Amino acid sequence: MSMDQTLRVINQMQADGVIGPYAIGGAIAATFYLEPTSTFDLDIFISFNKNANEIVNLGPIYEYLKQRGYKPKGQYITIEGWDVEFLPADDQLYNEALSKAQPAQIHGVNTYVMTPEYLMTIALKTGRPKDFIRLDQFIQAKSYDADKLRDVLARNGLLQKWEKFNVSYAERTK
Amino acid sequence: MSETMDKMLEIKQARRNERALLPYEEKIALVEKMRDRSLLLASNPLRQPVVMKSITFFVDGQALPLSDGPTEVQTPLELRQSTVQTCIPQNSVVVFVELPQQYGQSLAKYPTQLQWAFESPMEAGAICRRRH
Repeated sequence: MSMDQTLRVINQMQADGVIGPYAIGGAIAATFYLEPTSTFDLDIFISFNKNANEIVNLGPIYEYLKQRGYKPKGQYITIEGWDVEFLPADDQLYNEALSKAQPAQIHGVNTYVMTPEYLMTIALKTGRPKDFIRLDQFIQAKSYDADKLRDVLARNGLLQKWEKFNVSYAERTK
Repeated sequence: MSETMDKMLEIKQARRNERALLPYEEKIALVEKMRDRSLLLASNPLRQPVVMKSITFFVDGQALPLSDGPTEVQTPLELRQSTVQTCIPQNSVVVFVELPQQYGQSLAKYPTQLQWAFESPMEAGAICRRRH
């Protein structure tokens, strides 16, 4: 099933003021820079204008989509055949990733995709086995700017974790 | 690592890099195809877990309720691939039950009966094993 209809709905949400700026993250964004991999969901990072002590409320998004016949499924909501997860960009790293996302087109539909340096930093921070596999793929494909990556890592206090990851990567691949 | 293995990995990585360099539109089309195929495979009835609405196990005429709500058991595919079970009809499910100590290690000497209701349309015969 094609993703363009899903993105049209998300763009309409933005036009209707339900969400602000957004960017695609996760496996679909990684596909922009790496070989394509199979995935079932579409991660959409969205900005929230909220005070520090407010809790992120995804209610209006779900309400908007439910009114248009889209059904929630666990943490996802299925939009035109794709399970979409809306993730709040609620810290410095995600906010930066959102603001630096690059414009792209998928089947003629305009959208925004996170850059490889931010995808790598988020993967390192999240630290699940599949995130480390993605980091391996980025390194092997050499599809990122090493200086930019170090900047992002340093700003977000992840340089030490990166060095540690590099040691384990070198051991695994020697 | 052997020289052959090194060569294989090198070729694999070169192919990966080639695919990474494809236009994004083409890569997304491949992702969509892979996803559709995975969903098709996942929708196969053999991969659907059998969900029982209720289950009551009778041993020697005594009812032992095993669960309060719907219970998921193995998918038919898992069952067919199971290494510990043999001679299981393909339309069967296995139910693992824990029995009070008084029934010992074997159910053979007790008349047993299992009553259940399925949410899935699968018709099932029952084979019961005691979990030790």
